[in-house]
Amino acid sequence: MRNLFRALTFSLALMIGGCSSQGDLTVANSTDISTMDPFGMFSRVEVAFGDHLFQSLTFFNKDMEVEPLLATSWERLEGDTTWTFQLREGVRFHNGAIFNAETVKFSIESYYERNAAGRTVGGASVAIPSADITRVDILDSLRVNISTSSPKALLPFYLSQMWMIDPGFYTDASDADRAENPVGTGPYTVSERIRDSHVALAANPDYWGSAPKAARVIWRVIPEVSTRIAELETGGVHLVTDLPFDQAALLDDTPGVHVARISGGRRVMIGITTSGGPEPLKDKRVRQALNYAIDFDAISEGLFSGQVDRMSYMFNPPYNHPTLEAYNYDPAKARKLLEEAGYPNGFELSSLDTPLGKWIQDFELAQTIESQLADVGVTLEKGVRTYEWGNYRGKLLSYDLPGLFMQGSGGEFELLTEAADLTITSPSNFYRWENDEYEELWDELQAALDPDRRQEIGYRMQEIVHEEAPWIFLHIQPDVYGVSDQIDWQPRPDEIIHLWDVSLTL
Amino acid sequence: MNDLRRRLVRSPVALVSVSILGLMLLLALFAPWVSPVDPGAIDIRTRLTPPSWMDGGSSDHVLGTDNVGRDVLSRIIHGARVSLFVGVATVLLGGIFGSVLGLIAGYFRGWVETVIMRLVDIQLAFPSILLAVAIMALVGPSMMNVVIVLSIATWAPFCRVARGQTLQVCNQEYITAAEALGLRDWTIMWRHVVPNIINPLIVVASFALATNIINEASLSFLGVGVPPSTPTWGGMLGEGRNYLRIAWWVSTLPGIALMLSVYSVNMLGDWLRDVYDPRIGD
Amino acid sequence: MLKYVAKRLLMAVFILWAVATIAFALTFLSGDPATLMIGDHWTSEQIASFREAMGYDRPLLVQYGDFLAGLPQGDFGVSVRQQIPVMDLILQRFPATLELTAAALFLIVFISIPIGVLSAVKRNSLADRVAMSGALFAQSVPTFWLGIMLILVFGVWLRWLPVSGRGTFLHLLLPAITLATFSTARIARLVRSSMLDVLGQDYIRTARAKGLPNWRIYYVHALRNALIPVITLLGLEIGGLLGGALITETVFAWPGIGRLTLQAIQARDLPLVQGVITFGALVFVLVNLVVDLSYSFIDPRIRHE
Repeated sequence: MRNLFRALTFSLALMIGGCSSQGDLTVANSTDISTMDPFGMFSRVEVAFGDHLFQSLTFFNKDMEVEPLLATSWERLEGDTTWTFQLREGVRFHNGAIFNAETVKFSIESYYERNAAGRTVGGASVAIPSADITRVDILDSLRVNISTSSPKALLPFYLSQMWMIDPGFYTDASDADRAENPVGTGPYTVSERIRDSHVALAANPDYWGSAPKAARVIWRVIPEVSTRIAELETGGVHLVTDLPFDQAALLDDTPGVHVARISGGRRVMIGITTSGGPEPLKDKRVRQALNYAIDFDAISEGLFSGQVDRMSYMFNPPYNHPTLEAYNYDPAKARKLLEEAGYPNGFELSSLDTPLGKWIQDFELAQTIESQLADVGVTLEKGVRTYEWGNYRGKLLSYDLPGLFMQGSGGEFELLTEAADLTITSPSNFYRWENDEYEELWDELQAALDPDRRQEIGYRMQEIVHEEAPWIFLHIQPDVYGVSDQIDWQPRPDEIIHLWDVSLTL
Repeated sequence: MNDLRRRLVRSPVALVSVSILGLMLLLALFAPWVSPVDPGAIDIRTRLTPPSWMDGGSSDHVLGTDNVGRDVLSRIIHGARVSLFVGVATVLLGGIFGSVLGLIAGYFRGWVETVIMRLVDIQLAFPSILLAVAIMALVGPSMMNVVIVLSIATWAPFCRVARGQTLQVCNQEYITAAEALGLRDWTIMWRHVVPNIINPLIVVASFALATNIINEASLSFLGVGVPPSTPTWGGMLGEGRNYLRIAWWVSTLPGIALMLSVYSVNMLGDWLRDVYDPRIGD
Repeated sequence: MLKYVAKRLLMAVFILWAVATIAFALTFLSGDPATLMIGDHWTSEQIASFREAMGYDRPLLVQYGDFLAGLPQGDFGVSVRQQIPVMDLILQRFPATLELTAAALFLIVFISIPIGVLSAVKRNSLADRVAMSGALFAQSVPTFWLGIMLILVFGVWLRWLPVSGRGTFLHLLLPAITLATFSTARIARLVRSSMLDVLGQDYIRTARAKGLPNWRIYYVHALRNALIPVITLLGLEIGGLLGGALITETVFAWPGIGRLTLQAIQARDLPLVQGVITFGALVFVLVNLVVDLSYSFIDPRIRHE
């Protein structure tokens, strides 16, 4: 009852007070920051938000390079499995606690303990098994040694995904405390949070670096696209994410607002179940035929006004294969390949499955592809089936989508994490694709330290995937943002939004 | 029946409503023959073509095309099928189920009535759309699931009205007389009670029909309705809402079809109520 | 009297139990609840340990017993996605929804009753016809479409009102109108027909014969009696408003129970889904209990019906 009373008075205060004022830099997303637990934030939006509160030893910057953050420098020791990190001096947590070697040891160990216990580890879920850190040794208060099970050339990158947290607070914090009271070293602190409405961040007065440009930043959640756009147009928000491509044209003509487009790192394709699914799909020739049946120019023009990059490779730059050519539209060749594979009249599959609204124009894409496949004789008994994302993800992970399914693989811009997805043991190998040469290359890649050799392995892997076609290659997802002319903000290719160096002019 | 027809002719509003509904029903029945093209035919290059009378419109698509280049007119015509089917099927399923239970409750009284009316109370305590959304999200989208879920949300008012009316009818002398004659319960219910409670139930049905056509649209809006590849008015309205500013016809035209139909059903329900008994609440 | 109150209370508890049981059963509608809720990149060991942590590996009856035992204390368990007690989440959002529904209820009462009375008094006049066809039309418009239109007209084109979010009194207007429209139309029609009923009664004729002024007859004598069925329907309408909040809150980014519910459903956060359904029913049952009991105080005859 007391809770209820408190909530009521609180809401009354809100009605009178209002939630944001003119000078606040405001960004609107379609989904809420569901928790502020550093181990719980795991979507792109949540990780980007978390970066304002928490920091890591290293920072993955907008040029997709690793730079110092809470560590000022690092070096690799002999044996290649141990690194020494020099830590920044004079860094304090939001609660006044001092950041030092103890903190690093505690934070990294917390991540690994939670991961081993099957609990969530937020944005570090890929970095943790990939880095496979075995121990953290304190040398002195500002130096640590970090050791891995085998040589990991990318340890500094992996560490950019693991936030440093205050042992004093997080050792005994309850789940509710973790979710509500983030204690990090970042440039902002939380000043107000109303679930499903907004989180207000205020500049951290004791921040170790230069003060953020905007004193207050509001992260709002507005689920409806049309409402997000209306808010941007009327000046209620300054940055809008998750904008369908179609709506961009509308904003292009609106004064005071512009559209920022970037070819991101998310590769969109139609996954094919290559084993354990429908018989025809086990044949490489059939999978190639499906690729030849796609008139990508029509898709590009119709859905994306021609402003989309075709996907011919599978790894993001700088690891993308430079000369590999995308499958061209060649229905005759598609039919010929189907004939060779023993399906002169095509065949019928159950359905093409897609989530609704997860990837840009996903549903329109799926419907178009259904009709293009039908032109070469590959038909769908139940047509395009749509699922709500949570449901779809579950089906994806349990291989419960036999046949053709939409898939958008996020951009890590890191060869190892991207190559891992197609190994037979990876939970992200939704295609159940297995290739001996690929597995051998993968084993070699994990240990390879020489950048040229790694690049070479990456190229060969992409050639194999291109030939084997475990999916229908589509495109690199163009990310579209609606931006107010009041801010000087540039998009990053990995969908991460950082606002501490963005200023708002009124 | 003759009387009904005479009153209908004399009421212009009712006449218009009946005509609109009749037209929609004809469209629904003869959809494959009336619709100009295949409602599922996709042409991504001609997506969002405006209606033929606007700049950039084409005579191939009189009411324009939607977000994957399908013909809006053909989809509205086929959508009539699904939307009316969902509406009618849910009202039939939920209505018959609820009415029979109400009839039984009102006729037999006693513990049967208590049990049934408690069930009604429980059902009414669920916010019906909330329950429908929750079930749909768990069982997955399909037309059959939508019909079942909306029927569940529909039966309770029928049950209440049927019971109330049965109670009134059973106080009448002819029922007592029939009982005295030794007629069997089912015979009395079927021959003497049902004909006397059917009119108010038809009124309830008309309002339930209107509500469920809208509810189907709401489920589509929330992303848990009939699978999107099936054309429905609600689905078109819900999906097309994101194009309101750049291609108004995609959602507005099916929206007009939906609102006209719902309006006509409501109008007709109102009129029927006035005809039968001005005192029945909705 | 006491006996009646006790009986009604018992009924309310029984209904809540039934609703909670159905909400609990919903969880198992689609098979294994654990696989519904798992995250990206999970191994089968992780799923197993999650199942254990959530208690889904226990016998169904034990789970049900625990679920019921928690209800009296408002304990619906912990949200899977947010790792916060379900009741806390609900109580955080409740003020927002209460504010929205209260505003909507205010609009419903103060718009529908005058319109209904006027329509009844001026039966078959032009005003009556316009009002009643307007009401019918309002009942034919899907809520989400109305909301989007109001945003476009009053937010974007006219720029009179804020587009979305919860904050000042102005923020409340559009969502409250959106939520209220359907019910306002419905209640206005009911007030009209209820008024017409009452106006035909003997005591109104008597009052007229005594030469009482018209406004006194309509607003004091007739309306008071006409309102009884209206109040019942208003109570029942609470359920509709809670459902409507699901859509209205989504369109206007209003941080209430409706948004919470939709998110819970989309994230397959089953403890939260059970919680909001049961809580919604609790509000509904309480409101209607109050409505019922208040009648029996006003008019003792109702108890014996």
